[in-house]
Amino acid sequence: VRRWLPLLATASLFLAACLQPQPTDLEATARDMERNLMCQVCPGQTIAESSAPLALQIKALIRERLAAGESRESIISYLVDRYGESILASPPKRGANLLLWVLPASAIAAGGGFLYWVLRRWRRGTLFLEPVPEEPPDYAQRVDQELEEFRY
Amino acid sequence: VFIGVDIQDTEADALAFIREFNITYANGPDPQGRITIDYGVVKIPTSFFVDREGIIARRWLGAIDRRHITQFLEELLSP
Repeated sequence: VRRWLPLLATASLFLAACLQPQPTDLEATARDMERNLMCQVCPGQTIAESSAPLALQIKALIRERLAAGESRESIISYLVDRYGESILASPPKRGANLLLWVLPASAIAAGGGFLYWVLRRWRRGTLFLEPVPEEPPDYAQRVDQELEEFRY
Repeated sequence: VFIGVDIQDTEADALAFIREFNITYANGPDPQGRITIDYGVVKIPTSFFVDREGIIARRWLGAIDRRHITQFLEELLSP
């Protein structure tokens, strides 16, 4: 019997997970929308995180409209019309907001490029050195010539 | 027309407020927050001035005094 215990335990857990009530599609959509909308009376919190009366009312409105067959986009558009784009947790990728999406990536790329340049020079040991001008082509010849003249 | 909408409040508190300040204009509750959301209210109190065409001409956040009410109404009523 002991041999079968792990198998029985696994099967029980699997069965329990299957019997757990799963959120319906509408509920899952509502929860996802709430995570993507900002609470307007509690700074920094999404509707999902907030328990402010207004957030609770918006949660109820979302469920009511989804149940009535309204699309996610239509409900979000309705809320943006009322509260402005500040209600969106992610700023839309257009206009001036596009900078919010592009700038961090550009800054990371520029920072990475600078780091690569510094590390490369560091490995060569030339990070803090002024660049040495190249030797003129006739330099060695001139040295030999001057040494020859210098000789007794 | 002057209408008061009682939001995020209990009925008892709202009635007590109406009695205390002897409010005579029409007042009603918004228990589901439908009017609150429809008008995009984020601050209490908020005053809306609606023109003859039913368009919101002005929104005032916070307490409003008699001088501003008179000024905004005159702006709306002027031909």
